[in-house]
Amino acid sequence: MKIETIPQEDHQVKIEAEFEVELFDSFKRRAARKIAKQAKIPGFRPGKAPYDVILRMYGEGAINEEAIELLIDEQYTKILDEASVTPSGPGSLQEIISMDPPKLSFLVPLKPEVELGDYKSIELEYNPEPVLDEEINEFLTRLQKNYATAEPAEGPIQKGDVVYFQLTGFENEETILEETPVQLVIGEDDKKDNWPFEGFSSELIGMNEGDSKDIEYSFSEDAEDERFKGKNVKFVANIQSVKTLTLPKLDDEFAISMGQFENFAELEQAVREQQEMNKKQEYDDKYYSDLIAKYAEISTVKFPPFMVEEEIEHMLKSLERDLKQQNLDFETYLKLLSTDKEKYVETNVRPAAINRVKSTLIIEQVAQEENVEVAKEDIDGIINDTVQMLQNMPDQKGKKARLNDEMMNNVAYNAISRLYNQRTLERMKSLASGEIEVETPEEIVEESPDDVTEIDVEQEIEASEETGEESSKDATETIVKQEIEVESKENKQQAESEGEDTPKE
Amino acid sequence: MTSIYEVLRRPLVTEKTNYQVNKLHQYVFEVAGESTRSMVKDAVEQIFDVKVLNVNIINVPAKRTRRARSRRLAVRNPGYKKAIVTLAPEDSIAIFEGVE
Repeated sequence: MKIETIPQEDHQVKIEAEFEVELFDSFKRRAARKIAKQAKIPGFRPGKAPYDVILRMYGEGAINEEAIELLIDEQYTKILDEASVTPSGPGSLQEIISMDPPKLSFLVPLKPEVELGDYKSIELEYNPEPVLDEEINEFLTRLQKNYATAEPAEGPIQKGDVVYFQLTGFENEETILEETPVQLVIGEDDKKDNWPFEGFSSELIGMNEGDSKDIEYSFSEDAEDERFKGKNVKFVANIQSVKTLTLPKLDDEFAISMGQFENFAELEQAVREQQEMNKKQEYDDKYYSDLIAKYAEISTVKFPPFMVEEEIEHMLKSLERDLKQQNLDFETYLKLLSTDKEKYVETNVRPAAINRVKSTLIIEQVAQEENVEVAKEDIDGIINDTVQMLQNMPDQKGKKARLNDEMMNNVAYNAISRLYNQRTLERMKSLASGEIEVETPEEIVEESPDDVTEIDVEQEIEASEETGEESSKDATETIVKQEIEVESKENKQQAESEGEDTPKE
Repeated sequence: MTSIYEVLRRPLVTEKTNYQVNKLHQYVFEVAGESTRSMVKDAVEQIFDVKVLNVNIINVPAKRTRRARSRRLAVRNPGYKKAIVTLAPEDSIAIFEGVE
């Protein structure tokens, strides 16, 4: 077997392997036997037809194809060994260069390489904005409006009323807008007010139930509604009913009516917590993506293209799932965006996928360099949780226990990796925001030699008398040693437990 | 029968004839119903340019089988005449050994 490796630009390796003819012949015979087993050849029992007969029936091409498949199955690991390449994914047969002697070329994706650069120098302040009282108030008023009760109003329309009316639109006697029922809240700043045009609702102020009013308005070319673009429209509004909105008072009663709260303070507290959480989440997301972007700037990440392809696949799948929940087909979604799949993938998905691959690789690398660990207790906790969760799932009863196992493993694995990621991100955060200025292990290294030298000096000066000092130095040393031992033990346990818990791929 | 080219109908290639070719140096043909040993001998010697030592002939009787799909229908397999030709040890016929 002759092997040649040619590194490619996109972090893959091209391996050209040439095999001996005799070896390939033996594989051809095996291929023929394999074909014979499935073939129905008159005059022969399955699997009994000789090589020549197979050759005559199926031709050389079929046998060669099968032989190459067998050959790759069997020799691929050997090839990788001999080429001393560590692949990160399944390689692919790129080309059959020649059949005689058999020479094949493979494309093998290499393991992703991440060079982090000086990531400890990255600084990014972490200060989530506090939730302002106004925001809470805003939320509460929104809530208040949602729970407002409408009562028939007496007298003309005022600001804040809800008005139901029929709206008809003409342009030169031509009906553009058929009679359409419209509901408006007068004088609200939200979008409803902008239809059919801005400030429409205030035109209605002062009218009574049963009134109708003509309103003329000329739309500009860039009006939002297609029907009105650049037209001079005469609207006729026929008021049907007017209702005043009575906002509920923000008091204990209101809070109780919302359920699960006993008084207003509790409600407010809940709102505040909710808002805080949302805000923190938002900020965290942004912070982490910024942080990873900074990491990405200074580090070089090399990865084979198949990882991106996988990520794209993954993303498309989840997109499809999301769309399904909205009762949308992926195809129709693409039509809505007026693109086709390839374009969409190229423009929207691929860059994001590349980014995601990069950031996961960076996170992994940071986790490795920073020795981020998940303690055994955490893993145990997660496993217990998943067991409980799965036991509580009712529709699992009829299914096999094995599936349960598999599912449990999967769920637990996901949870662990999530936790691991989270830890890493937190670590990155604390590094970048300056919570940990100098690394803890470095501190130890820095301090302990200092201590020793001091002691050494003292020992030199007062060697005979300072026995107490010496013993104390011994003590510190042993403590440090013990700590290290404990740590390494933990590491071992960690490794073991991870080995047990991670499901087989 | 007018010519020797009408004697041999086709070579029989089965597991059994395969064995006969490899171990016994016998080549098996389906031959025309009215052919005789000497006709088969002449035909094989002329067409394949070999020396025939011996010819055995057997009339394979017609058989009734059933159709594979509609198993009720009986089908008649026609019988044929089979000639087993033993060649001189140094000779061989190519069509039995893979590519023609």
